[in-house]
Amino acid sequence: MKDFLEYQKKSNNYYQLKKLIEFFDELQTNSLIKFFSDKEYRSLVTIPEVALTKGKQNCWVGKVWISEELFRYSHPFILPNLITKKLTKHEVEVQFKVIQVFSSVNIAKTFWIKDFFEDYSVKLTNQQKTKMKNYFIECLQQYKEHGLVDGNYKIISKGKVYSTKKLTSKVISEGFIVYEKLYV
Amino acid sequence: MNQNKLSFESENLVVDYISFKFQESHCDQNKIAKYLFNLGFNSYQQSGKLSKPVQERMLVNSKNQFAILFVNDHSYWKGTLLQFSGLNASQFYFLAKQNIIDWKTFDTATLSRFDIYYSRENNKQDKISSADFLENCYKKIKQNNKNVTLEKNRLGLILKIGNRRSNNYSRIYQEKNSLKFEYEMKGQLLRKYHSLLISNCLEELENLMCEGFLRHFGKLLPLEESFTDWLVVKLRPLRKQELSFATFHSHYLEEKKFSEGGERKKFFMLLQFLNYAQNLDYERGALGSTTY
Repeated sequence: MKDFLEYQKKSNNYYQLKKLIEFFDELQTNSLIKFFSDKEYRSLVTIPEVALTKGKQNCWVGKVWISEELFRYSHPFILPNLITKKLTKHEVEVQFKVIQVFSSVNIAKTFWIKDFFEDYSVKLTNQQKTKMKNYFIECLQQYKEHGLVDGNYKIISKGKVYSTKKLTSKVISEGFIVYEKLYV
Repeated sequence: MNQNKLSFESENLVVDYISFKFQESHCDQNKIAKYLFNLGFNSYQQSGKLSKPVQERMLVNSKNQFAILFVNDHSYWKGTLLQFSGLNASQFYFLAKQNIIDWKTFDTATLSRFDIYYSRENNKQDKISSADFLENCYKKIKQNNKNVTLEKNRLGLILKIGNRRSNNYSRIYQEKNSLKFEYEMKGQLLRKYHSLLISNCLEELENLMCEGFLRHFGKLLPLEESFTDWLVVKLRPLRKQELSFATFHSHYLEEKKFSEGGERKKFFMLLQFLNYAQNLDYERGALGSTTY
């Protein structure tokens, strides 16, 4: 468990360990597979058993059953690991949206920012919205640096689409489109 | 990570044409016709010299559902072509897969052409028409390749990419409710496939052909269009981007809204865990028919 915490760049303290134990407990219930849309893949990421034991020097060891096929599986998406720091609640929402939109069939990934804020669970101030829009741009910049998206973007304004080389919080208020790069 | 093997079935590709070439007098037509007759193929022959060739019956029975054609007397080449077209090619390949074909009958032949196609049904959600899509493809390909034409015949538009005599030639054309993406392989490209075919290594042959087909169209076509949605899905697992330490894998996600914020954090952890687990030591075990 300590090793996995280090991998996640998280501190090895009681709170984080508790969170991790909760995660492994939940893993066994397979409640997280609902995020995936592909039925075959859902069955592949189904975890039938997790065993957590406390070893020497209070060291927790987890034993997880993972389908062998999953190790050979050619996944359709590569994502940058942007979860290397403690994220705020709003950052989690943005990150999730980015992953969700990116992990879709079309090469063109459309982010409907206005709808995102309208559907948001709490009412946001303009300052919070600007911060979140900037975080969208920051995340996608990381995708670009990993060669996963193209440098040509489009913005949506009054329902029309315009090309742009740069995204800013001002121009993406309605929405924007990025293009996944596929090296074949 | 190992690649999962591709097959014609998994990629929904259809064998549409197979031909074999026999040099000079190396083709015992009667022997081959008799052999294939017993497998359900009627035989016809025609001259390769005539502009409007007439097919002559060789060995025909109304009970046979399939047909082959021998083409002789070519203007610039002394030899015989044995052609399986459309469903006849699919049937011949099906028999080869069933290990029914005796390849000794074809020991003097070389595989000279092999066509496969993918048929993409038109969809109400398509943002543009198939005609506009072909027009967009034409414009994109024309930027780097002069050997591209967009023509209209009685059935609709047809986009031809490459030289018909070259080893890689492809066509995309309109059918009643679909678009057909056809890939024609010839010459040197088929040398390896020929040896795989006659040695019944069809799993390997299909994997290589499928990959060649997908990469061929993947490099040529505009991938952001609705009509290439199938291609994008098939190409993603073949992408050449390497997984670095700072990245992880994912699959297609549900588009709906998930209400629980805490679950999203756990979902991130799941992605991280699946990546982390790839590099751990492990023991093998089985639960039912599944190995873990």
